[in-house]
Amino acid sequence: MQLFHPTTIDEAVALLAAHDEARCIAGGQSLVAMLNLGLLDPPALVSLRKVEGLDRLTRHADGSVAMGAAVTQAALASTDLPGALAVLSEAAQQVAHPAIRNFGTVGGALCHADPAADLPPAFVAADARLTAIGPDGARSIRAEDFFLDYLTTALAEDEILTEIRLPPPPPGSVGAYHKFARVDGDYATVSVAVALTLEDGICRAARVVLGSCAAQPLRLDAADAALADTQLDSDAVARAGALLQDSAEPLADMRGSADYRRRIIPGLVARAVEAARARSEAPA
Amino acid sequence: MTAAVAVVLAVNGEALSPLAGPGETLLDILRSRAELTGSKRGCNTGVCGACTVLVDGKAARSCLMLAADCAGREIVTIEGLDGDPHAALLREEMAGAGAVQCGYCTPGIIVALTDLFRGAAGPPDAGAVRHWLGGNICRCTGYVSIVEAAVKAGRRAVGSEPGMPGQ
Repeated sequence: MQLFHPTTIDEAVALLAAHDEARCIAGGQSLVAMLNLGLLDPPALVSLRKVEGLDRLTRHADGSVAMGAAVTQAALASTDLPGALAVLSEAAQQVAHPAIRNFGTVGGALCHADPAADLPPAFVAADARLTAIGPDGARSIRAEDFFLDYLTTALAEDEILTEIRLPPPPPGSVGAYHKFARVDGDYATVSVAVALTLEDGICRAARVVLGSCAAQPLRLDAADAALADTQLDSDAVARAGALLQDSAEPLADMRGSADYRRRIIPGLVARAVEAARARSEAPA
Repeated sequence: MTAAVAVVLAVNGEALSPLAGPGETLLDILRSRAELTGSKRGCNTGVCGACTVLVDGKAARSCLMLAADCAGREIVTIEGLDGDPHAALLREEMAGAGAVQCGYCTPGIIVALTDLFRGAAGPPDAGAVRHWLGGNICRCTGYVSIVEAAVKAGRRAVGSEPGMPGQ
């Protein structure tokens, strides 16, 4: 295995294009574990550590946010983000342990595309746009189109995720990330990321996304529609939870059987929605 | 092309240039080439915390860092914390509380808590210590004495001495 240290994105893309099966490495907090376990043996690794500017997080005046793919999970966890974008910081605070968050990156967690991880559902809830750069230039991918399957993304082999952009959260929007895990710092048994737009107690728009319940973060138009234009009364929330429950196809593993995961979905959706709504009532 | 190359590492204030293969981790190099065996190999996948070191002043899993990616970074192992006031108090309180049985997890715990103390505005309470040590597994003690020792050390270390961070 070769390890390269390009200093520009173009150079990194050229290295990926020149080496079949090459992988990018940023914080390495998942990738090196996979190397150690013998699950992965790429012929080349392209380290992004020396590429300038990938660790910048910018909050714009209009509320939109741009973060480089190599922003650490610790940096995101300690950043106060406006409105519904709080779901991102709250999810980052719950990724593994402090030492992992210190070096694990946002882009790395998204590209690893583990559906049990915390950041993918949160970025889908926030409707993030991911910038990928390849030999033919840059393109933007919506977060919900990015996750294709277990550990599989829409990135081509010679594309690199460079930046994540978040549109300005609408006025009255609130977010929350609710994670159910067996022990602190573990992967979620089931997690729920929520972004709501509230106007005088009425929910005008909702995005509810489950982690650990399918091959990718699970969001349903019908479940979101069940919450829209309601007061988030318990019937509406239960309907959304039931729709998500019906569509979930969770795995069975040591963190819970598939049946157990399905059973706890409606209750966790209700808790996450309530946690988000409570934010709109808190004094600003 | 996959041969080991010399990597310049700054470990405990000294420049080392061990040979490192591209897939070798910082932990591999510390233990096998630098003869710094205080950092322990437990799970080798980032879960157990026994290999915790400071990289650029922050707690890090040395088993999850490629050695060749650590060039230019400041690495401090448990051995490098010999003169550190926070670590000294932690050692004293952990010994006093009987917070060590086999001792395999102890270096990682002291390194992790040193990072907590350095960044803390005030003495961390038991809840904060438990949350922080969520990433350090001890299979002997059940954590009670470790947490007690850490809270005691924190009261003495954080915010109470001139030159220490805190209030």
